Amino acid sequence: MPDPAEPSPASEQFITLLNASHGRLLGFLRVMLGNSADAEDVLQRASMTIWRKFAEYDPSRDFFAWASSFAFYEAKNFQRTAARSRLHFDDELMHRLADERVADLDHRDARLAAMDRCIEELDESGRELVREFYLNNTDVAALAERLGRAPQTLYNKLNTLRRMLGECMKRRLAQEAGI
Amino acid sequence: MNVSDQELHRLFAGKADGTITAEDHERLSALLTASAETRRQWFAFQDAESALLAWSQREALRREEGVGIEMAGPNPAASPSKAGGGLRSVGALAAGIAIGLVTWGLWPEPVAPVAPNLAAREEATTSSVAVLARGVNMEWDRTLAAPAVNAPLQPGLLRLRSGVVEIEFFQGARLCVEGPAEIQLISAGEAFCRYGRFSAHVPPQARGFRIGTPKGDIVDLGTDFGLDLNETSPELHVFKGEVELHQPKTAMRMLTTGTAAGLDQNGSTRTLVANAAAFTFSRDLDARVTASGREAFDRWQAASARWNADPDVRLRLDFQDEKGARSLRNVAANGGNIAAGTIVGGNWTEGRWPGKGALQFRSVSDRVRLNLPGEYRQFALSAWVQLHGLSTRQSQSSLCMSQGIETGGIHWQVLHDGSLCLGIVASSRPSVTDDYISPVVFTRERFGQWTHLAAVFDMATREVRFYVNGERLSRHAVKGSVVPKPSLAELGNWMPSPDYPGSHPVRNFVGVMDDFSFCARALRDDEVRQLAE
Repeated sequence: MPDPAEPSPASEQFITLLNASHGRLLGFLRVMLGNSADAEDVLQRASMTIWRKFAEYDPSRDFFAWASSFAFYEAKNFQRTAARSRLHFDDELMHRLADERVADLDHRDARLAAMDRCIEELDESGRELVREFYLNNTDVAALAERLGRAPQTLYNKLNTLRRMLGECMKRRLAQEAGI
Repeated sequence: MNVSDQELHRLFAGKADGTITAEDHERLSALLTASAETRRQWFAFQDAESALLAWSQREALRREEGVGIEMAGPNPAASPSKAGGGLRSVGALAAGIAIGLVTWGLWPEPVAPVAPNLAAREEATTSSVAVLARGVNMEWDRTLAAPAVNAPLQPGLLRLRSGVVEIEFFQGARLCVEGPAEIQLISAGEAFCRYGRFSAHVPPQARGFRIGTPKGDIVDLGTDFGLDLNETSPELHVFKGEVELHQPKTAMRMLTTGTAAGLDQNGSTRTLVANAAAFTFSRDLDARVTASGREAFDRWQAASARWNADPDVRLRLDFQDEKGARSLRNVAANGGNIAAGTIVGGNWTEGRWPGKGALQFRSVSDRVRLNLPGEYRQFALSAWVQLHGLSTRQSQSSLCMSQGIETGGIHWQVLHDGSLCLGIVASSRPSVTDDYISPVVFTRERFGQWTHLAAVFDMATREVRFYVNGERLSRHAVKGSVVPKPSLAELGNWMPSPDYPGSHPVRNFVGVMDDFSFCARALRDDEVRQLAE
């Protein structure tokens, strides 16, 4: 076992590359699995496979393109055994989503940046609701109880906010594209 | 296929939050399959969700630190969710299973996101009102509920034919019941007793604990009292504190320390001297629990010696090592080349009975390292465990898992939904595991209860079988042709390769184990039943 205080150059390089692709790999997995927790779980599993295969990695190739094929395989494997929901996209759709998402990820950073500004446009109560919702693992029932509100009303309110935010993001992206 | 933006958003959100119905999921799949534009919108929706989640996490950090922070680059090793979740639930356990159950849903969730799982949440809002804390020689009327020790109790009718049980109400009152008795649990602070003998201890925080009887209601103001509904004239005895007795057509009466009253209509004016001798069953409970534990322990020791001598048992850990030992002896007579297990983390605790040793696994580092050399076309795994909880943030909890994902590795585990899984690694590159998954075993009701688990793998009959408490739970056809080869393995945890530098999924088991065997034979149903006795 290598001394953890002195990581080998290979493991250092691996961690650097994996960190740099982390967001894109998560974004890649999210569209197939539907939620971030499953995506994180799969990425952790896939990281192991990627590490084991790392000796075969050709540094002249794009790391994300190389690693995402393992992530895709792991996602399919995960759905069979450990996904939190039994409802999965079928193989054909998974392949199509994976294929198209690779190119689509070029828009990801712009979307994230646009959304960050849209959130700031919300009023304080809206921001608080969004924050509480995502920090509480999107558990509306618990949140509703704490705020003393009906769960369905709260969920509707949240989904209205999410939709508004989504439209704001779209608008901003369109504006930027127009400039 | 036409769909409004609003409808599409509803489907997207349902999929992301885990609330989507099967019908809507089918519709969403069809819409995504049909249109590239819908897929693009789905990608944008997921990026929006990522942004909202990341913003919420930054906000939380900013508030905690009280200063603005620079957005740190994403770092896979820094995800606080996995370990945090496991450790938090341990806090609940330290406070006792009853408390753990009530507060489950109240715990603040860690910062990182987790897929919503409505099914799990519905379970989390338990409707239990009490827990069966102890019992000796319990015989329940099996046409109604027949709870085991440590089982949470929901409102409803219980009929104890014989034996003595102790029920702890979540509000704090403790009720000792001697059969034959009938009791209806109403809430965390109320029960209705039709017949039987009862002895109650009501601490100050449970003031107002109420027991209804056919002859009137008893409201306890923080006391110890006895209630005998078996006599022709039922009686209430107050040993300490104050009790209100409410009877129809009679003014409320207050009974204090040392007094007793008959509950009969015509005897309602009688005041007696409290007689503790009639309720000794509750004070005897300690001694009886100890005695019945000792008997069970003796029986286990005798059966244990026979099992150790079985020529096919390769590894037997009986957890009867010296106090504080950091390894577990292999006591199998034919275990020759199989070494002791090494304990890493994990604390010694009491097992199924006083005198029975057990290891408690609670943190992500706790594990027992094993080495099981050889290939096995047939094998059986057997363990006595008490599972304390399953984190929805963790997809698997290891019972016994081979290290890494090497061909032939065996992965015996509890999945996040409470089902059992035996995985045989069919190929390490690419990683493919033949998984056999049982129906759900561990619902919340089973947490904290001693449970015997067994899994049998047999290439001769090409069958995998799961057992719970000696009963066969499910059978599965063997999928592959790889011969299992457990090699380096761990109880209660899992390790990728030792030189793996990145973070890896958490697989630790949260609970107690007090018996483990690995046998190089496909055990028959009756053999598994014996191990579970």
